Amino acid sequence: MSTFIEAERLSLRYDDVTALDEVSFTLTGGKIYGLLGRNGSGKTSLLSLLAGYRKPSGGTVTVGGRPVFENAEVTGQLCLVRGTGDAAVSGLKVKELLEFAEHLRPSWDAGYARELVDLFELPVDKNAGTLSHGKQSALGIVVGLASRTPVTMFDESYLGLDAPSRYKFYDALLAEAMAHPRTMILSTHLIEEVSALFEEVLILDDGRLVLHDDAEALRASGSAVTGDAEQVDRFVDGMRVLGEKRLGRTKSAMVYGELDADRRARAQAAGLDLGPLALQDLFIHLTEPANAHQGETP
Amino acid sequence: MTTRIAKRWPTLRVMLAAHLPFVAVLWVLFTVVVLIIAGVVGVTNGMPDSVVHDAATQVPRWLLFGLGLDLVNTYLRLQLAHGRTRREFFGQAVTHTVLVSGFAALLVTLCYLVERALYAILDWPQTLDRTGLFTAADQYPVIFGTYWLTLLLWTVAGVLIGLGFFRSAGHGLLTIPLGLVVVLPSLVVVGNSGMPFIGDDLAVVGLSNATVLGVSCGLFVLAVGLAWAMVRHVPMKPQAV
Repeated sequence: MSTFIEAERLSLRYDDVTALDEVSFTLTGGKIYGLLGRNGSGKTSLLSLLAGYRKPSGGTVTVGGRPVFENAEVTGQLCLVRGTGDAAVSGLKVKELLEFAEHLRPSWDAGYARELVDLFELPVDKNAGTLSHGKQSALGIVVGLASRTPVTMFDESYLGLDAPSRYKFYDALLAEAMAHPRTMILSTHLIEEVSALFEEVLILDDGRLVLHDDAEALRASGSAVTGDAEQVDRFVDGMRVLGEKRLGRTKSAMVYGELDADRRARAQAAGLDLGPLALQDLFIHLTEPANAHQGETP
Repeated sequence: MTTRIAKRWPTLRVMLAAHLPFVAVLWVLFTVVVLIIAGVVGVTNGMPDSVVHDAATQVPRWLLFGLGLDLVNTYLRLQLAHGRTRREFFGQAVTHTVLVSGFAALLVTLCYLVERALYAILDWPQTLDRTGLFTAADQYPVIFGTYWLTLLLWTVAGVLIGLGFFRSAGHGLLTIPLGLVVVLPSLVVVGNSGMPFIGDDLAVVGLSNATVLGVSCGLFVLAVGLAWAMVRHVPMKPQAV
């Protein structure tokens, strides 16, 4: 099945609150997408519509050209893990939940699920509701990865994990994406930690899509200039500065715009280091209230 | 290794696999406890009426009501999370309510049989203190049918109220009176209200069996229709952590 995802003027309203406001985008599929946004920006709402957990208030969302909501042929190809996962219901043991997943998901890979259970050291005989937050998150991740669905989405699913477990997840995700290419969408706050995985990035702010671009292109759309504070200030004078950090005499400034050869030579002569633009800085800049709703890169 | 399982009625299989063993275990406990109570009452107060009848007209229906709630609260979420649709869930959930209530009714009927055997050993008559559709404790087909109908209505009421709360607390509160209306005929068919305020007045209202059965069927269809109207577009909100 094609995993070409298309949203057209997609809206979601809860009573008088507009969670998503005419969001339109196309995802060609087969990549790892990063969905970024501040709290309440509409990330969970958007993913819930993509998974058929909710019906849109307006607009359409299709996967492979077919509408999602209540379409068994499409929803069976999708898996969304929100937080610790809706499939990790309390009252059932971990092994029961995995057995049910095997019954309900034609694409479920039980062997891979067992590998992941071992990787995250999940106690299979325990009730899912009694697991720690971290273990519940790990269970959600097992459900998502072992579903082997053509479109797999994780909505802040790994926030409960400690750092070593998060890195296990990133490694497993990458290995899975290589071995079984599929569309993966990750929504996260831990942008710096995960951004290296992203091939495309979507940024939501206040229910609107403010950016959708190739991750490499975004990183190359600006630079991090680091060095002596005075030299940095002199170098970035007249340029569009997205953000600055300072530690003692060392300063790092994020500038938007491509640096030509002459500029690069000047930076080298001044002893300044040039690095790629950090997605987190771009994200913060784009979602600052003063910069919101520009609808384009700075 | 990739596992490919393409079984029919997966949703129903999952729900039956969860509920039937649970009901069976509780039936064993129920039977043992009820027979112990019968023995104690018999020894202290002389020959009792059927204790199974007293208990079975009140306890199992609440269990089945709870299973109706669980069907929505646990399994609707599980099904949607695994890419199943509301339509798939609902069709198989209604089938499940019929099967699980039938299974429970069979076990309750077996309780009457076990009690009869015990009373026969002790040379006690197995009498009923109140009657409904059945008037004697050995009318097994009628006992089975009566409990099937009763437990079915209570399970469906649980589904209806469960769906209300799945949508929102406000909807949940609104569905409670609806659920109460759905189970009303079941109080008549067993001749025991067991409910506060209503007492047994309704249970002895004097309706004919045909009327009670007709009203029950009508309410079952109405409840299923209402439940479908509620589930077909119900949003699945994130779980509270």
